[in-house]
Order: sequence, then structure tokens, then C-alpha cells
Amino acid sequence: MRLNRLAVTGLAPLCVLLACLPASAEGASAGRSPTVAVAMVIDVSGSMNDHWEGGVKIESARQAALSILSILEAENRLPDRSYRVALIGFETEARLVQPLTSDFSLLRRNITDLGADGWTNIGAGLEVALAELSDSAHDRAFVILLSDGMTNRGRSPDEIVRWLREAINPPVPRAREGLQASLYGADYGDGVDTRGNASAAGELLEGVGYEPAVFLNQSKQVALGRLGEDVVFFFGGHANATGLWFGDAADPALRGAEVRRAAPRSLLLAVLAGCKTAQDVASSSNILRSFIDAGARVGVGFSTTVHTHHATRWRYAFWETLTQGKTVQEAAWAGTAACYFCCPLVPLLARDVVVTYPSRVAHRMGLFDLETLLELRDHQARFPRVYSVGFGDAGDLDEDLLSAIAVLTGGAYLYGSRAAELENVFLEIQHRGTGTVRGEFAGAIRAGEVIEVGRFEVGAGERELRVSLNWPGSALELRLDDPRGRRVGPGYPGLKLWEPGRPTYVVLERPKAGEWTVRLFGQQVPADGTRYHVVASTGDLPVGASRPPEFFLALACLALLALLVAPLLTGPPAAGGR
Amino acid sequence: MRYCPRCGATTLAGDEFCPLCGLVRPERPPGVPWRRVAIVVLAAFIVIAGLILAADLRRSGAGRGPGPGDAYEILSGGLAGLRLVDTWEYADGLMEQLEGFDSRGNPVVAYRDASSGVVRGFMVSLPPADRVTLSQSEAGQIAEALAARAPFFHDPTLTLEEACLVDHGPGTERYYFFRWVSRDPRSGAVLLRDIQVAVHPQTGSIIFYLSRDGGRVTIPTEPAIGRERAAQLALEAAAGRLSRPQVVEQHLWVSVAHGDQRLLWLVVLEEQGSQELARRLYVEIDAQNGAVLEASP
Repeated sequence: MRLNRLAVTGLAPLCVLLACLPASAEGASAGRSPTVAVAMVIDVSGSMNDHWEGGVKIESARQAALSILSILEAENRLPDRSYRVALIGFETEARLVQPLTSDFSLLRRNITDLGADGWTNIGAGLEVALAELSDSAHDRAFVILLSDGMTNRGRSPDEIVRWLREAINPPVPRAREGLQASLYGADYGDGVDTRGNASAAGELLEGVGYEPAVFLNQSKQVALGRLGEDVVFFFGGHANATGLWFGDAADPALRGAEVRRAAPRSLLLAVLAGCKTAQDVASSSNILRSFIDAGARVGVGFSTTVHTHHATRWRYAFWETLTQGKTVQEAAWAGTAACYFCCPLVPLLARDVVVTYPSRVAHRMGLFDLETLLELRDHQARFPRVYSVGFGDAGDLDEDLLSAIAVLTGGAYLYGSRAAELENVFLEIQHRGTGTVRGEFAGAIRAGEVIEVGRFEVGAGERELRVSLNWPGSALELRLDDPRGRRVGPGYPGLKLWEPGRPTYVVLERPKAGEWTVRLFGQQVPADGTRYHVVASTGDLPVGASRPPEFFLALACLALLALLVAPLLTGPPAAGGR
Repeated sequence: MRYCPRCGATTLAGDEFCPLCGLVRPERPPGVPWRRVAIVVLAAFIVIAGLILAADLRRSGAGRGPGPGDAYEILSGGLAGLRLVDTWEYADGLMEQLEGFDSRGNPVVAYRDASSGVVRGFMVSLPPADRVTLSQSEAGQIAEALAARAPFFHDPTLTLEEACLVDHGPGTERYYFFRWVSRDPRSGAVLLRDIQVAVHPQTGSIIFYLSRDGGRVTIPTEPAIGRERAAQLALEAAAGRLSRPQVVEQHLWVSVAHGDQRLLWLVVLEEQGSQELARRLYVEIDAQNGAVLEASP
């Protein structure tokens, strides 16, 4: 009986206890708050001494920077957040005024001491900022660029754009040496000429470190002789579901059985860009299936006939995309999109382009190993977004450059002419920099009014909801209702931060999915009202523990096991009494 | 320490009867049936854990990507997280290609018309489906909700022409595919608008969305050259190029090039005979004057 109790009653509370234990953080080291690094790049060139909006540009820039800083300082007080800010000033040259720091008082002093003189070298400013950010460890970084965009030293606007583009999309690393790629094209004399495709593919592959050999109008014996050592095999031309037609008139068709005999064990990628090469690809007689069965890790073909215009367009787009570091599936669809948009007559449909692979891992691969692919993607994901703010009058402001810098990096360009607007601008930047904006509302409210300012959607599975309210002065009250109509306030489940005041912050963990409603109460505002600005975003930075479903499954199995085993551990009940 | 219920004498736990009055060891007072309680607790835990697991798996699942919410944002021009990587010419003008990641870190490519700013398409790289859990009807609702975001979706000539589960077999991606095509109601001519949507069959995420809007058709869509006459012209054009050609497909299309619209027949010819490789020829014929515009394989 004692064993019975231990087995059955002891495990139950143990399972419950395990379920309640805090889990390790997902995506971040256990116990470490996500870090956001911000580089504030301020134009302190002589043109910033120009008059603007009743003042001087540099003074507006200083005020703007101080406004940003106050927002970032307030954000830094949020739970599970750590902000570090660097200050860069640029004129003829760029200077790292203050490396990344969380000392906001020091930053304020440095900003106040900024003076304006010299030429304008935006490129240098960005370069120093990116260097400072790349040297530090952080989960997210962004750049705030305050300038009139009138660069006249260092890189020209076009050069800045080109430099940024190359920085964001670095050249694909060269593959290991000795990787043989065989590419086959032919002029069939009937209007189908795939020699250009094969040659172009060869050049692209050579650019990323492969050793391509391009064969034009060759017999299939050449292909069979090389298959055993090929890492990449490309065929463009006439084909059907069971063979590839080479230029050899006597015996042109390369069959599946021949491919299997050639044993292409090293083959990473087989691209059979001909009609019907993937028709009934599950069948062992299919030519593409033969390549996969013989050892290729990824294969691509068409399941239907393809017009030569489409096939040509598809091949070019496919190899261009693939050699930029994308996966085979992405390259295949990029080719399809290119056909769809460029050759809309009887378009090649995505369902007709088939990527096939023998294992689940292989489908994510491109030309390179998975590690390289992930490194490339990681680089792009981590590249800081630039949020540029321009101020100046028309003719005194290069919005095109500031906008291009923002768009290229995935940031945004904002024009802010007054300090209050700039605060809102930077609140929005913060929301965009660390999450996805779900709603943004602005308007005016009068004393005593309660107004519904707007609604926004939160999707299922979101980790965090942040709502901020800002206004110039006086007192406003934020009233936030969840999809079930429950008012958010102290005691609300998942509430991490409730900070009334200006700006007002609300941070919720794992918000309910559905439509949220924002209302405001004009508690104490000037007689003619005041303007407000509300931003709601869902954060995508890791904020703490979450348990995978496998955890619950394991506990459920443990509990079930206890239930089943317990009776086996018990003996017959003890005889009672006489 | 225990007590006899009759005389109150102190008894030891192992005593079978009271040492004072001889009462047989009293039965244990009924206490809490711990075993039953534990079984109930365990059963409840298993049920609750199973429900949580099922809900979590349904919510997360493999291949989470832009669900309708994210996809709507992309289509509405919410491309703040994407970077401009290329600009190229396409049939209707200049296309901007943007790349980046969605809110869940999946790679995204978006295509935006450079002059109008309208997003013409996007594609998301997602893990393949482990299994098909959505019905075609459910996937169709998701696809239609997204397609309805296209400005021209309510064009009465646009109808759903294709809805299927694309499954080429083991080792290939599976997804629901939907295609809306705009056709002239009288002549059946394919017009200038088209939408394709692919839906992840496990999570309902959008895998790709492509749309084309060549604008309103301003030319007559009734052909002066009839179907049979067009087929005859195509066969004549194929003389010497195909062995024993036969018409296998024939479509009436409105095409637009450099702003000029044209109604044309597209006749697809295929070789007949014993040869294994049956070549094809695509012949474009002006549907108003019968001119053979192009004949290409």
C-alpha cells in the first residue's frame, strides 16, 4: 500500500511541480535580457546652422536627439529590455562621440555639447555607426540618422546607396575548391537553343567558387562520364518524363538506368530544366526521380510542357537567385515569378515547377551547406535598420537620399518638423525597431472626453504587446480593452508594465488574439484640446521562458506511465481484522 | 498512537484487539481515498496536458509564416521590414523586388510595381507540411480572403478556375493552389487579370501570392478569325517544323505589350507519330486579321 501511494500519489504532484518550474529562455541565454543597440547619428555640419522653423537646424537636431534619448531611457526601464546608445557626429569627417553606453546622463551632456561646422559626410557617419554596432553583441540594432541629407563630402548619394546595398547583401562566400559542376545546353535547330542558359549558369557558378564545365551540343556520353564526380548537374533542353535529349543524333536520350549506373554519389543538385522532367516524379521511371534515387540531394524539374520563352526566363532567374545564396525552392519559385510577370501568356505556374529531395533536411539547401546559408540569412536579418529623419525646407533637404537609405535597410524615413512630433516619430521608430506595428492612431481630444481612438488586431501566438501613448502635456488616461472587452490594468493577467504618465506604457505578455480597442480619457487637457499619438506593436524579441509542446507531452506520458505502473507495484490489500 | 472506540484505552498501531476490553482492532476510520484521488488527478492532468498540446500544436505547427494577418499587411504595402534588392522590367512596367523576413523570421520576397506601389506578389520560404490538416474548403477561404485584397478582385469576369492540392508525391512540397482567371463572358478570351495563391496545408499560412493586373480591356474580344480558321493557320505555320502536327490546345487571349492590347489565338501543336520525343510549337495568331505573330517551340 505504501508503494502504491508513492507511485501514484507521489508522481502526480511531481508532474505538476515540473510543469510549474520556470523553463529556460527561448532564443536568449537564460537570465539575460534582450539588448537593443542604437546608434544615433547626428549631422553637425555647417549647413545645420541654417535657419529653419523659427530656429536653427542644429538646435532642432539637438532637441530631437534629446527627445529620442528620453524615449529610449524610458524604454530602458521596461522589464526584459536593455538599451545601449552610441552617439556619432559627422561633418567633414565622422567621430564616435560616445561609444555604446547605458549612461543616459552622459549621452545627454554629449548631445548638448555638439556644435555645427564643416562639410556634410553622411557616408562617413553611417560607416562609423555600423562599425560601432558590429563590434557589439546585441539582439537588435538600429540607426537613427538625423540630417538634412545634403551630403557633399566623401561618398556621393549614389555611392552611399551602392555601398549600403553591398553591405546588406554580401557576396556569397566561395564554395570549397574542387566542386565540379557540369552544365549542358544545345542548339536543337528547331528554335530551342539553351546554350546561353548553360553558359550563364556556368559563369554564375564560377563566381561562387565552383569549377563549372559548360558543354554545348555534346553527346550524353560526356555527361555520363562526368556524373560520378559532379556536384551540380544542369541540363536545359528537350526532355520528357523518362529522358534528357542531348545533341547526339544516334542515341540522344539519357535514361534513368544510365544515371543510376553512373552512381552520382557526390551530386548535390540536379536541375533538369526541360519539359515533363518531373511528370509523375514519384515513379521510379521518372528521370528526375532517377537522379534522386541515384544520390542527388535535391532535384528540380517541370511537371508539364514549357514554352521555350518561359523555360529560358526561368533558368536565368533560377541560377541568379541560387547563386545569391537562396535555397533551391526559393530559386525555383523566383524563376516562376519571373516567368509569371514577364511572360504572362500561358504562364508557367508554380505548381508545374517541382523541387524534390530524398530527405527533409535537403529541401532547405541551396548550393551551399546549410551552415553557410544560415550565416547569410543571419547577416541580413541582423543588419541594422536605419530610420532617417529629415529636417529642412524643400531645396535644403535631400529626402530621396534619406528615404533610399531607410528603404534599403528595411527602416523608414520620417519627416519631423517639431519636437513633439519627433517624440512620436521616435516612439514609432522604437516600436518598428523591435517589433511589428499593429496600429497607430493620432488625433485630438478635449477635456473630459472619452473617445475610441482605434482598434488593432493581435495574431495568435504573439509574445508581447506594447502600447504607448504620447501627448504634449497635461494628463490623458489610456483605456485598453482586450478582445473579450476586459480592461487592461493592474492585476490583468500577463501585465508586465503599467506606467501611466507621459509617455504612457503598457506591456503585456502573450496577449490574447483578436481585436483590441484603445480609448482615451482627457483627464486634464487645455481648453482647446490636445493632440495624442498611440502606437501598438507586438514585440518579436525573446522575452523569457516558453515551453515547447513536447514538454507537456513528456509529462503526460510520465503521468500515464505512473497510472499504468502503479497497480503493478501494489500487493493485495492487507487482510483487515478477524 | 490510537484509542479504543469502546473503552478509550490506548492501543498501538500493530494491535489486533484492545488490550483492555478485548475489542477487535477497530476498522480504520474511513479516510480520504488517496488512490482514487491520485488517479483522478493524474487523469485530469493527462486530459489537460493533451488539450494544451493539441491547442499549441494547432497554433504553432510546422511552417508558420504569414497567416492572413501578415499577408494582409504585406499586400497593403506593409513592407517596412523588407529591403529593396532589385528593379527589373516586366510585362506591365517596372517591378521592384524586396526581400527580408516576416514577423516569424521566415524569408520573404515581395514584388511591387514601381509606379503604382501595388504589391503584385510575395513568396515565403516555409518548412514543408508534415501532414495535410486543412480541408480544401478551409484553405480556399483563406486564399479567397487574401485574393479579395486585390483591387480588381470584384471584377465580374474574374472567377476561380483552379483549386487543388498540389502533391507530386513523397519528397515534394505539398500545398493548396488556387487560381482566379479573368475571362470574357461571351468569347471566353483570357483577359488581363489573374491571381494565384498557395496555402500551407497544415497551418494555413500563405506560401505565395501572385497577381497580375494588366488593366481593363479596351479592345473587342470577339475574334474575327474563328477557332477552326486559327487552327488551320497554325498548322500551315508548322509545316516543315513539326512532323504530323496536331492541335492539342487552343486559347483565346488578350495580350498587352508596351501598352498595346491585342486579341490573339494561341494554338499549341504537338507532333504525332511513333517518336518518343514529341515536340511542340506554340503559334500566336492575331485573332482579328489572322496574321501569324510568332511560332516558337
